[in-house]
Amino acid sequence: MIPSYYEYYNPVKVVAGNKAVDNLPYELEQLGAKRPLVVTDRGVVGAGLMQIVADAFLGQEAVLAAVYEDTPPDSSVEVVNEVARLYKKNKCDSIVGLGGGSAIDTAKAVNIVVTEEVDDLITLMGAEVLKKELKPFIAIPTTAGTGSEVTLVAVVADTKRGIKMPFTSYYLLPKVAILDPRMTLTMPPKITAATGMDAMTHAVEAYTCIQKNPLSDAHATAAIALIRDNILTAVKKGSDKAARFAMANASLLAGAAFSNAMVGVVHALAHGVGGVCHVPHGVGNTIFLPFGMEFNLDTVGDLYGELLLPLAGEDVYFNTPKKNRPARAVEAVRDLNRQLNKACGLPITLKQAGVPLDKLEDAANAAVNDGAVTYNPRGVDYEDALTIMKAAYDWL
Amino acid sequence: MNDEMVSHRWKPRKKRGKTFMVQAGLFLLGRALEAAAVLDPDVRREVEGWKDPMTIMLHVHSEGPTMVLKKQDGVLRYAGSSPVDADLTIFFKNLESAFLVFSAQMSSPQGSAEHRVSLKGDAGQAMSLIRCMETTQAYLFPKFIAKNVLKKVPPMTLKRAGVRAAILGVGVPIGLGRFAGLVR
Ligand SMILES: [Fe+2]
Repeated sequence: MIPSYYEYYNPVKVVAGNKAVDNLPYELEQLGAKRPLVVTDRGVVGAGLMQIVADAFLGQEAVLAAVYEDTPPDSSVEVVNEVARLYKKNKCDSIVGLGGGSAIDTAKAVNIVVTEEVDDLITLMGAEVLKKELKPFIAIPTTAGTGSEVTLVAVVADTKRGIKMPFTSYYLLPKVAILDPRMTLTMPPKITAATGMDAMTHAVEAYTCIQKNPLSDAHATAAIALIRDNILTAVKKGSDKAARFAMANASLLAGAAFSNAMVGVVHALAHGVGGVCHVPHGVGNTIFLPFGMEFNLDTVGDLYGELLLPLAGEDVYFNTPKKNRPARAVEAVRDLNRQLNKACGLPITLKQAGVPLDKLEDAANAAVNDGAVTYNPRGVDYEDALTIMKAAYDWL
Repeated sequence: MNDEMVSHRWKPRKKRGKTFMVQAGLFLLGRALEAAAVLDPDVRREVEGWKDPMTIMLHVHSEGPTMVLKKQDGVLRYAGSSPVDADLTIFFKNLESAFLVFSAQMSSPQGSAEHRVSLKGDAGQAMSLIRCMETTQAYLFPKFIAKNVLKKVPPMTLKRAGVRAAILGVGVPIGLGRFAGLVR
């Protein structure tokens, strides 16, 4: 069903495939830039990925003006301001985000600071502060899940006040996203599984949230089918380039879907346990996805029924009577969770994720205050959130 | 300024092998095209249709290996490896993309389909040049490579074997353009 009104926006040029990173200098030049600052982290450097990026500048007019290698897993205002100083000191003219969600989000936030020419991100707090085109920005994801390379949000922690500041603006979208199979080959199995399930959650929630539309739907179903066919291979045999590349594509597709259709209760719950108990985002989504689907079953069961096709494939879909398909779709996700748990020890209960029982109330409270509940097809109150948390605690 | 203020920690590693391969491939192709324009009737006809004088450059963006061809007084000549302002420039966006094509891992049409190759100048002229390159490559490559990277491989007749021998024996080492008057 097509909504009576919707908006969809994704202007990111996608450069994807064999040796794609070698096109970085060329793409920068196309944007009128020759002195990029690369924002990355220790893990990326350690895996040799930064060197691959550096090598791409051989014999090119564009040069690596500066590289920031110390992005922490949860980026903060201090980090953003430090990187912005590096940008100015080295007379950079563009930004490259190389890494997982944190490095790319940091790069986005740095872009705000250097474009608005302020010394501190905090002075730009508030909605709709961005009024002008930012510096050329290219994203190169090294995980396959966040979809940050096609989203318009950057989340940065304000460590002094202990909150996460989301910045949302169309200007934050990268000009180019580069997907290169070489960039995700070294991701460890557990992170591959968790980030892959984050992408799965983006796609499933985008397909069922109240902002869904035909374009986000097409991206979401394509992403789910790719994840179904490739996540286990990528986890068990990390060197499989085809599976890695498929997962990178799925992540981008799911990112484009949820950037336009938003996410719902599963993300709200994951943010809850993430904020209160530091459960990694992908792990939280893995644990809550089947429970969130169950929670929404009465409201959008028919949509889950449709998702059984990309989730489980043709045979299962056609052999399941229509009325059983919604519940079967939940079961397909649970199956996948069990298989991932077996393959790499990915936590699929809150207990396995190390969440103490006495923190569930705090986490549920944080979840209902999360923006994502706004877009969930069914209203979520504190009791709902707590019930789901308890159910997800130790269900095995 | 672009050369002075750069990251000193992160430098591109030299790719001497790949650079040499591409440079050698460009040289080979340049000299072979020069010879084919004399010896092969199809290439000769194509080159006759080009404006005169004109300069063509095959190039790896932005400071990579280069090959220049010049047509003057009806004769196509290989004109060295220094970049010039050409009437038609066909360029690879980077060395890796050029290497894929010059190591025969990828055909040129596939290279264009993957946006690895781009051009400045008249697209129709470029099509003609690409047809000439395909014909020339059919002489250069052994059959088992040619059939992977060329759309059609003409059968090796005695006449074609002679042309191949002339391209490889005279055209590539010393250039055949200078003998254009004699052969015609
Ligand atoms: Fe997410």
